[in-house]
Amino acid sequence: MNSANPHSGQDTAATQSVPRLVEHLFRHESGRLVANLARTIGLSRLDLAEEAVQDAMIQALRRWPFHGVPQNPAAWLAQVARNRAIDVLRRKANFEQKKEEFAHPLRPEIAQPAEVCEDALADDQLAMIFACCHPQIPRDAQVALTLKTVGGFSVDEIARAFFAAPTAIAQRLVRAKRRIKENGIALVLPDADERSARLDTVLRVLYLVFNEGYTAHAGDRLIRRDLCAEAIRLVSLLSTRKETNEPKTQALLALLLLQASRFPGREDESGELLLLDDQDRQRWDQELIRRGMFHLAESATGDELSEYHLQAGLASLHVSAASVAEVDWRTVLWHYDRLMEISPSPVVALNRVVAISMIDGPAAGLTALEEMPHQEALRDYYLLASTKGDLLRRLGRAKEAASEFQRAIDAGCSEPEIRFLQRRLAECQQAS
Amino acid sequence: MSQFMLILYDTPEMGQKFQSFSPEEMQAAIGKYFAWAEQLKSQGIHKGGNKLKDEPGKVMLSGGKKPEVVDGPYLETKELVGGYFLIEADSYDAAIKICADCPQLEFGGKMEVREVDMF
Repeated sequence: MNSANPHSGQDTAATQSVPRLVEHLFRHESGRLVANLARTIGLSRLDLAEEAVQDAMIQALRRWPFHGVPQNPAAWLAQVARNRAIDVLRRKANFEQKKEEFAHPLRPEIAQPAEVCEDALADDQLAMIFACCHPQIPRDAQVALTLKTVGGFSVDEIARAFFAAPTAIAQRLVRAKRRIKENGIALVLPDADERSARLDTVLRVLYLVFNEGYTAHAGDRLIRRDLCAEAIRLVSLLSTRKETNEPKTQALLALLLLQASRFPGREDESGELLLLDDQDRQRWDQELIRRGMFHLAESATGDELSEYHLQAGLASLHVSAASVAEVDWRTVLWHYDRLMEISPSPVVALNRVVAISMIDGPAAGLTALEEMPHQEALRDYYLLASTKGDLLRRLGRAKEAASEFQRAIDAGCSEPEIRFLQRRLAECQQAS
Repeated sequence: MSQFMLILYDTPEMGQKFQSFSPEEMQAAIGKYFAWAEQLKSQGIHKGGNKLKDEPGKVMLSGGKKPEVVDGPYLETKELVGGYFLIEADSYDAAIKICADCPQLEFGGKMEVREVDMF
């Protein structure tokens, strides 16, 4: 047992003036500490870094109930994790030379208040995000690795969020770590010339993390909410560092904040999903909207129009309208047209159809929908059927609408969505 | 009012549980211990407590000429006393009620309650 005890004094009565633990402190510190340790001992020893941090947190769990929270909980965890890593490495034969170089810089850092090394910690974390989103790592593993290593989520939590088996997530992580070793991926920021392209992957991964939490899938709701918060936290971090603060970073941050602003109001009291039409706009988070708008304005520099610019622009049109009827649908359509050029997808195409129907009526929407390319490929896609059903419903063709809603249900989607579609189906069956 | 010593044992089961905890779950677990202790403090019946170091410690036996000192505890090495709390309660029943709310049991640990013999 390493004897260094970072606890400030043997003060058993410390519990009387304990600082309260900041919400999510462990989760956030876990990511920072793993990055910081891996920076010191090498990314190829990521497993050891993770174990050491896990161990430090277990020590906290076993000791703090008696002692109370130490004055600087983050520094306490850092010290114990480092001691743990040193202990393990010390047992390895080739450690002796390395010991000196890495045992020394530790002390002054720990002795300082946390703010002093705040920058260094952020740098390490930034490098870790880039490492987790390295192009040599498969996409689904990038997402899992970022959540695990940077975000401090456990395998079980990731599995719950993605509605996947824990073993499947664990395998992804093993694959990702193998890639790190095989490719000798290091914990460094990419060089300036490739940074912007690498940043694209990072932003895409964080966007996926947010979306996974945002879309109304099955899976644990609380954890999914945390995914969104984590994505926002990490994109915020990117936006505060000069190396990664590009207009597209600002645009993504704007997009996530504006989307998150609609969390309250997206569901009714019983957790049922509400359409934009039926949402109480008063309940949208005005502070998030204000921040989102601020970053959207910040993103309007340079000449790059990223997908995030367009999506954030769309979100801003929705949150700034007093009602669905007052949304500037022509500008919405303009955004979808641009999106179709940059990153065409079935979802974008369908949203474009909705915009057309809001401008020129449901009949025009139906025509646009039938003219959509790749109809065949989308036949079993529930959103196609539900959009079509909605247009038919608005045209008063209840019977046809009902069969589309049925088709959407059969195509498979999340529980809240199925319930929503069933309500629509029942309405149309009554009307026909 | 009598005093009771609550001895908290860490079991292997508890160790495994903690290993599988996510950082978020660990923070939540610490929060539960604090909430429990907070409750006792607000009633003025929390009289102290300490964590013991995670070492086997020493056991001393009376030997021949001088006492024999061995690494201990050697009886039940699988369960380790993690620490103890001192509380005030009217009776064993009341003390046990307080223990029942301690998250130690929820996490698979064990507790021993002993009344302090005060004269």
